[in-house]
Amino acid sequence: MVSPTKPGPRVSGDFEALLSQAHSRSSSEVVGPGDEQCSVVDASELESVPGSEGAATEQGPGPAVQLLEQAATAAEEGRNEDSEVWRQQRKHLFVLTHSGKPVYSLHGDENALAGLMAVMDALISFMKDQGDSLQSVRAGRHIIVFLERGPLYLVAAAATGEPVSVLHLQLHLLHSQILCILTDGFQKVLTRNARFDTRRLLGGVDGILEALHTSFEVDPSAFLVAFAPLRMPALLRRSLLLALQTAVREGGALYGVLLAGSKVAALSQGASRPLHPHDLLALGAFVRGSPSFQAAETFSPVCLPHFNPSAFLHAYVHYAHKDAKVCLLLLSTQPDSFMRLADAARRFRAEVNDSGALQAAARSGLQAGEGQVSISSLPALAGGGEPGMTPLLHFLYKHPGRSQFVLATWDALAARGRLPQDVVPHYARIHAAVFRKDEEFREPQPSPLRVYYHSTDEYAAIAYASAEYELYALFDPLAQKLAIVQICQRLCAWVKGSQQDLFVPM
Amino acid sequence: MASRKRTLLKVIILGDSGVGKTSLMNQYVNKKFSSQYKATIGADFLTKEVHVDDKLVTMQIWDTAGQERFQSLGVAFYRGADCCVLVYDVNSQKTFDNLDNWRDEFLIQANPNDPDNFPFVVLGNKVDVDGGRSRVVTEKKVKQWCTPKNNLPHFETSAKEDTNVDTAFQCIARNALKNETEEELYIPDTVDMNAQTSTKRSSGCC
Repeated sequence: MVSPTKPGPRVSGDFEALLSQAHSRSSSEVVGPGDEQCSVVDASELESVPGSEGAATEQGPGPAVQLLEQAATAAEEGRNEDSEVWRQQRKHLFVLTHSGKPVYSLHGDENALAGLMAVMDALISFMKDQGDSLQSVRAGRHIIVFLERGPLYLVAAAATGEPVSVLHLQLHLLHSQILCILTDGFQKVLTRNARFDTRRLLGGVDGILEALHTSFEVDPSAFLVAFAPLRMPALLRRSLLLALQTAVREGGALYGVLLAGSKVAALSQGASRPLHPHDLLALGAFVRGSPSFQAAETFSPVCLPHFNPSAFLHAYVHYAHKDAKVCLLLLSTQPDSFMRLADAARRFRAEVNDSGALQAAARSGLQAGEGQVSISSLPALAGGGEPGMTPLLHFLYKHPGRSQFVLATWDALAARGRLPQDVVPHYARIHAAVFRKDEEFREPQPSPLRVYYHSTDEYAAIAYASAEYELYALFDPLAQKLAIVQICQRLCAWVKGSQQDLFVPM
Repeated sequence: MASRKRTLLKVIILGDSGVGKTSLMNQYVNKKFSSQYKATIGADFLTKEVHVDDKLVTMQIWDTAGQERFQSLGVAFYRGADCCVLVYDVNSQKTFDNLDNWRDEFLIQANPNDPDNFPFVVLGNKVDVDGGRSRVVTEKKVKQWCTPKNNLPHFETSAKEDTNVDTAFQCIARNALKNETEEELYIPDTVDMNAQTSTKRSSGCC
C-alpha cells in the first residue's frame, strides 16, 4: 500500500530530539568541573530572608539519593517514560488538557508523565501558534497522532502498524468514551477555568478506558463502524427480541440492549433514532469496564455522544446471566424511572428464562470466541476445514445495511503464531486502502463494488466491498487466486444463507 | 483504584535570560549545578513529587526560555498555571526592573480568574556571586515592590550553593496549593426528548 503525501505538517527528527531533550534533563546534567572553590555563604543573608515563616519540611539527610531512588522506582514500576517496559508498549494513548496537565495515560502513571505531557502540549501549541495544526509524526516504527477536541488534546503513539486514519479514529472514540462518562459539560468548565483538574471527575474509570483499548486490539468495530452480533438460533433470538421490545415499552425506555460479553444479542430501538455503532461501542466498554455492575442491579447516568453529547440518559444495568456476561441495558430519559425499569426487567427475565432464549444466548456467549464462526465448521467449498487443511485462514464479513459484522475464530491464525492484535491492524490497513482513508477518518460511504488483493509472505489478503456486503479474508500465501475467489463467493453465499442466525434483526 | 487522584500543580518560571531559572530548577529537582551557561531552547519540563503538610503533590515545572525569540509559545504556556515564579539576578538592576513586564505579561496571557490574588513567588538569585559584594538590588527595594502586590513572598537564593532553593520551592508548592481551584460546578443535563427532536441543544426548562 502506498500512502499519499499528507497535507499536515511533519516534524520527524525534531520531535525525537525534543523528546530526548526533555527526557535527558533529569539525568545527563553534568556538574561543572574546575569551578569548585566554595564561597562561604553569608549567614546573615540566610537569616534575613523574608517570607520564611512557613517552615518547610526538610527532606532528610540525603535528598539527592532519595530523588534518584524515587526516579528509579518510577522507572522500575513502568510508571513513566524512563522505564524500558513503558517504552516497549505497542501503543500509548494520552489525554491532556490544553494547559498541558495530564488527564489520562493508558500505560504508566499520568502524574509521573506530567513532563512528557507538557512536551506534547508545547508541540501542539507551537504549531497552533503558526496557524497550523499538528496531525501526525512518524518517528522510526512509531506513528504519533494528535487530535484536538475543545480544551482537550488526545495523543496516540503506536508501533502497531495501524494507519493514521485508524489511530485518529481511536482518539475520537477515546474522547467519546470520556463524554460517555461525563457528557461535554466538563469541557465548558475547563474552557472557563484552565486550572480545573479534569481527573477529579474521572476517578475509577481506568477500567472503562482500558476496555475500550482492548476492543481496539481484538475487534474491528471501531473502523468498520459496526457492531458484533451474537450468533444464536433465529427462533430463540426472535423471542429474546420480542421480550426486549416489551420491556422497553413497559419501562418507558428509549433503547434496550442485550449484551453477551462483547457481542450484541438483541437490540430494541426506535426506527427514527437508531443507535450509532460507536455509541454502542462506548456503551459496551462502559459496561465491561465497570465490574461493579455485576454485583447488583444498577441505575447509572450514561451519555451517548452521537445521540446527544451534552446530556445524560439513565441506564438500568443488570446481568441476567453472570457467567456468560449476558447483560440487559434499558436506557431512559427519566431520572426517576428505576423502579419502572426494574419491573420491566424482571418480567423480561422471567419470559426469556421460560422460553429458553436466555440459556441459548448464554450458551453461545460461553463458547470459544463468544460464538464466532469457526472455519472448521464451514462447508468445505466455502473454505471450511481444520487448520492446515484449508487455504482460508480467517475472514471478516460486514453487513453494511445492518452495521454488523461477523468474525471468524482465530484458531487457524493462532496455529501460525499470529494473535488477534497482529491481525486486526492488518484488516484496518486493508479497510483503509479499500476506502482510501489514509488520513482523516471519514465514515465509510457505500461504494460500488471494489476488489482488493494483496499478497505477502504471511497472507494473501482479499477484500470485496459493495453496498450489500463487505468481505475481508486472509488466505495461505500459496493459495491460487482462482481458488481464493471461488471460496470467497461460496463464503458470502453461506453467510447470506445463515443470515438469520448470524445477525441481529434491526 | 484511587478514588481521588493526586493533585498536580503547574508551576511556571519566568525571568530575564541568564538569571538562573534553569539552574534553580536543576538544583531543586536534580540536586545538580553547572556554572556553564546553556540557554534554554523554548522550554524545559520537569516533574517532582513533594510533600506539603503531609499531602503528596506532583509539581509540573515549566522552565521557560528568557530570551525574547522563544516567546512564541504564548498562551498555551501560561494557561492553567497554579503558581508563577518570577526570578531576577540580585546583581543586575535590569533583571529586577523587568519583573513588572514579566508579571504583566503573565497576567495578560494566563488571564487568571482573580489576578490580584494569583500566587506569584519572587526569587532573587545569585546571592553567592562575589560573596554578595556585587549585589545591586537591595532587599529594601524588593520589599517595596512586593508589599503593595498583596505581600508577595520573596526569597534570596543561590542555585550554585543550594541556598534557600528547597525553602523557596516549598513556599511555591504551598502557595500553589492554597490557590487550588474552588470546586467548580459541573452539573450535567439529562436528555430532554422535546428539545432533542427540534435541536441538538441540551435541555433547559422553559
